[in-house]
Amino acid sequence: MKLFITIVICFSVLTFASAQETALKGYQENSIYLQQGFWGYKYVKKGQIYRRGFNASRLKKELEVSPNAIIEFEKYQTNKWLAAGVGVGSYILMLSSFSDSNGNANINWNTYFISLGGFVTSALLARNSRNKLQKSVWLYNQDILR
Amino acid sequence: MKSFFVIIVCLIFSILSSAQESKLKKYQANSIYLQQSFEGSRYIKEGQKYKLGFMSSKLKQELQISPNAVVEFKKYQTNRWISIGLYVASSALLIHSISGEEFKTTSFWLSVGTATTFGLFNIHALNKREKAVWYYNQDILR
Repeated sequence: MKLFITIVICFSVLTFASAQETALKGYQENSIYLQQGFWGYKYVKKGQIYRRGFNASRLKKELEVSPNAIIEFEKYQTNKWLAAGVGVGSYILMLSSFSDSNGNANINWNTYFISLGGFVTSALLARNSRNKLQKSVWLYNQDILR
Repeated sequence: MKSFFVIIVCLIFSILSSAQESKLKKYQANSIYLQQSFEGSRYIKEGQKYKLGFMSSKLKQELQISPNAVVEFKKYQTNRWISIGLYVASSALLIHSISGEEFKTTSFWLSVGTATTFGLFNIHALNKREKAVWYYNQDILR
């Protein structure tokens, strides 16, 4: 009986240690982190750098194993497109605030300040989208341990 | 004999799931990710936001338990200092180019070049910090 209990304890300890090692290996092989490139984000998995693809579609495929990550990722995409839309709109508004009448340059200050506000909003949305992306990758890395 | 095997199988499953659960809990309690806010970058740990400190010094304290993370973090710091130096140089060159009566084209283009190099070093620095955090998150599972 003593021998049996000793075997069971040793076996349990070994199984626990090997399960922990498996979880670590799983993390090393599947976890992701982001890297900024000259043309936007890339992601690194198992030491390899990958492009995120158009609208980060390739990265999204990786994250699909984690529903939590996908929720944050969709917020990232929404914010990113909103930031781009507001940015382009502000740029057009700023250009339209400058007019040229009879050789004199005029500025429509109302339009000019609205466009400045638009640029600030766009920057805030872009920052928010980056944060969502970071959180999404963190959630993915967590969920691969499940 | 049958009941012995049933016990062993149940034991294996419970050990495996408890090992996995313990890793997950460790990760949830100690892992870090970076976020940007109005006042600059922050790091999140266990749902709480923390300031990074000057040159991310507070984050460095967190990363100390992972030697791999510390190596990458030092690269971040080196690149960050170089980028700050380049930023100052670029600003000085720009001011020099527009000061005085004559516009100094050479200084201007030198400032543009220095600003571009600053941008590259800055991106490199931030990537090293990102990698340091990833190493840390991995090493807390050991």
